[in-house]
Parts: sequence; C-alpha cells; structure tokens
Amino acid sequence: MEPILEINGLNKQLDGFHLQDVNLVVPKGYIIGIIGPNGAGKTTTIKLIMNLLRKDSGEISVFGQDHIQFEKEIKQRIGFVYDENHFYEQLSIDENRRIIAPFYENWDNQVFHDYVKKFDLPLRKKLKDLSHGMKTKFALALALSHQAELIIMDEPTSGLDPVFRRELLDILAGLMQDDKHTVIFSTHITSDLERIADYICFINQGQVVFCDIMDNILEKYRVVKGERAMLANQTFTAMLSGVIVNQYGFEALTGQSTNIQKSFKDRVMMEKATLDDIILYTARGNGNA
Amino acid sequence: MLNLLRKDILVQKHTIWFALGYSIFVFFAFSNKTFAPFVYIMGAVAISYVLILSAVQSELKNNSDLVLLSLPVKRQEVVAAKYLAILVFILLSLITMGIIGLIFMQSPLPFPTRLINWQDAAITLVSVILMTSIYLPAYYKLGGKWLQVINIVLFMIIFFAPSTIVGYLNAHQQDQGVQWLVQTVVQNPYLASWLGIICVAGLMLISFLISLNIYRKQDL
Repeated sequence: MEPILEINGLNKQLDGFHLQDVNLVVPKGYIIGIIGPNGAGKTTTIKLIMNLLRKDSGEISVFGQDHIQFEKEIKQRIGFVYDENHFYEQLSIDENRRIIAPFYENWDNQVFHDYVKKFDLPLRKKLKDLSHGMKTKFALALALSHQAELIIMDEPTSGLDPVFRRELLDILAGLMQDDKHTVIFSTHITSDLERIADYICFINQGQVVFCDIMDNILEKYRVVKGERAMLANQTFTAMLSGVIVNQYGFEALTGQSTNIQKSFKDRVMMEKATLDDIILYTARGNGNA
Repeated sequence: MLNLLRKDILVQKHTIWFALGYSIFVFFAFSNKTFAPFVYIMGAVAISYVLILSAVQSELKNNSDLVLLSLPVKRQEVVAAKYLAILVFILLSLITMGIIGLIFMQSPLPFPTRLINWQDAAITLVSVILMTSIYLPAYYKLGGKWLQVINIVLFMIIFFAPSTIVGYLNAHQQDQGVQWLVQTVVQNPYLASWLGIICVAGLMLISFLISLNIYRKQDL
C-alpha cells in the first residue's frame, strides 16, 4: 500500500504541551480519521504537516517528498479545510476565489462553480455574512477545485449542525469513489468517522496511541464490565485501561479481549467498544490495554 | 510572488476609495501658502502608509497567514511580497496625487501651483520606506496585539524626528560632518536625494532580512 504521508519521530514543544515522537504512515486512497480529546495534539500534528508550525525534530514526507524542501510542489496537491474561517471576511466568496485561484496550477473554475451551485453558495455575499456551515462549504469548494490529491481537514464538523455534518460526510464519501483522493480528517466527534473513515489514528496527550484500519480497531477493543473484587487480580488489571469503579462493579476498556475471554470468561461481560468509548477510557487513565 | 502582491491590492478595495478621496481632500486641507509646497508629499505619504497598514490588518483580522502559508508559497515569498507591496503602494499614491494635482491645475480652482516633481517622489519614497522598515519587523515580531502601540510609536517618530534632527544640526553646526551634509543638500539637491534613496534602500534590505528571519521561525 503506497503511503501518501509518512511521519517519523516528530517532536514539537509548545507552551504546556509536548507532541512526542509521533510516527504515522497514511495509506493512499483512504479516509483517515485523526481522533483524540481536545488538546490531544490533532491540530498540532496537522499544522506541522502543513509547515504552519516549525517542527523541533523528526521527518515528514508527503507524496514521498520532504514537506519543507518540496513545500510548494506538495501544497499544489493539497486541499485544506480548517475549523475556523481564515479567508478574507470583508470580501465576497467570488473575491476570495479571485485571490486564491491563481496560486494553483490546476485550478478549475468550472469545478469551483459546480460546487458553488451544489452547495448553494451566494457568490456575491461577503464571508462575514455567511453562517459557519456556509464558510466551511466555501473552504471545501476551494479545496476541491484544484485537483488536490490529499484533502486535509482539521475539525471541519465542529460547530456544525447535524444536517450539514451529514452532508459534508456524504460529499467526502462521494469524493472517494474515484480512488484518486486521500482525506485526513481530524475530529473529536467520532460518530462522523465511524460512518466514513477507513483508517483511524488516535492521539492522546501528544502521543499516538494507535493507528490502524477501522475494522481492526473495532474488532480489537472491548468495554469490560465485572465485579469490583476482580480488580485485585493484577494480571487482569494489567489488561485494562481507564477503569471506572461504581457501586455495581467496574467498567474499563481492553485491547486484549481474547486473553480476557480465555481466562475470565465467566466473570466478566464484554461489549464492542465505539470510538467514543476508546477515547473516553484511554483519556481517563493510562493502562496497558 | 505576483499573486501575493495582487492579493495585497485586492483585499483593500475600500481603502483604495479612501485613498482617492483623501488625495482630493488633501489639496483643500493644505491649500494655504505654508503647506501648499508639501501637499504632494503629505498626500502621497499618508496614502501609501494607510494602504500598507490596511494590507497588514487584512491578514490580522482572520489570522489569514494560516491560509497564505497553506497555499503553494514559501515563507520568504510572503515577506518579500509585503516589501514589494510597499514600493507598489508608493508608486500608486504618487500617480494618484500626480493625476489629481494635474486635474486641479486644469480646473479654475486656485491650487495647486505646480505639478508633482521628482523631489516629491524622492521624499515620499524615503519617508514611507523609513516608516515601514521599522513597522514591518515590529509587526512580524510582536503580532497584532502590539499593532496599535507600533503605530503610536511610529507616529511619535514622524512627529518629533524632524524637529530633533534640525535641533541636532543646529547644535552641531561647527562639526565638519554636519557642515558637509548641509552644504551637499543645499548645493546639490539631486545628490542629496540619491543619497537618501540609497540609505533607505539599505535600510529596507536590512529590515527585510530581519522580518524574514523572524517569520521563518514563527509558529502560526
């Protein structure tokens, strides 16, 4: 599988936050979800890929090329959508298009206008008069109008209503049908990703917890429930993460469901974990699950 | 680079209308004998400076640097384009003032008394480059939060610098260096203008290198 993005040993120290030794390989032609709680390092990772933040150490290569040495060539092939609007609010959609379009060699006005029509965007309206959803649609229209092979989206669904979130996900799903695109999509709204992502990278406290195919993840992780007395068994607790104890017993996450099934089959109950469960339990406590 | 320059012009369509309005207003406001000889300079300096400030503030409003640096451009191009924009804005403001002055000369109105000349252009160039060579590195280093402070400091410099310089020259009339400078300016204004332009060109280059050094290391 040809990687479109490779990150090796990436480090970045910011005020009160440290992205530590991040290693990632993103395969081509997939929708890759970067998940994690707020402040986990998702935006920092994306900003480092885009060279908006300067890395302290490590290597980032996009399309097999160093992301700084070949910055211009690489960015010709990247479309971006950020969580907030950073285009020129005092200008209209069309005026913003006139500023952005000439930067791209493969800009296609026809494609842009097709998206404008599809998204019902008012060309002459100033950005400051548009809703958050409309601004995101505009950013998406720009990102998709220059034949970008890699679309990088940082929390594009945050602050959007469920109808537009669904619409956005449908657009992305449609985009993937030609196998030419790869989408990197960071979010803390995991239900969005369960619908469309093929590959998930989970970042917590500045570290990559895992990076794997969605089906493998959902197959691997389980929510375990049982009696409190079982927590006295250290072999058992070593397989748990984010243990919550309540008056009825305990709940935790495990990535070793087969082992637990073998040894403690009759004493625990296991359910499939959602991505939300995985984030919640992992963020709560460091375990060995 | 040209796309960045084009962007700096497109983002401030309202400021361009202000510039046009101001270029007319300035002839009325400074029509008396004391100020009339400097009307082209006062107009062109103010218009250039407002255009530059407006270009910088349009980036600040929405943190648009994030968009710019996500486009296929290098950081050095962003900084270089900003310095190139200074020269373009000076040229635009001189052309605007020149044309408005020419129109007024053809009109029955009693001003101005002359056309714009190369000395107006040279003094405008030196003044605006002097200001922006301080302004841009300070902006790149300190960011938007300090923009108002930078503007006030620059305004104070513009306001007090001429009297301070004249005061210094008066107090050091006997110095050989000062005497040479005054004689050169009086006897050969062309040479003085060129010296001024060469000095500010050097200053602009130093300013550009400082800005570039700051911006290259900056986290957005």
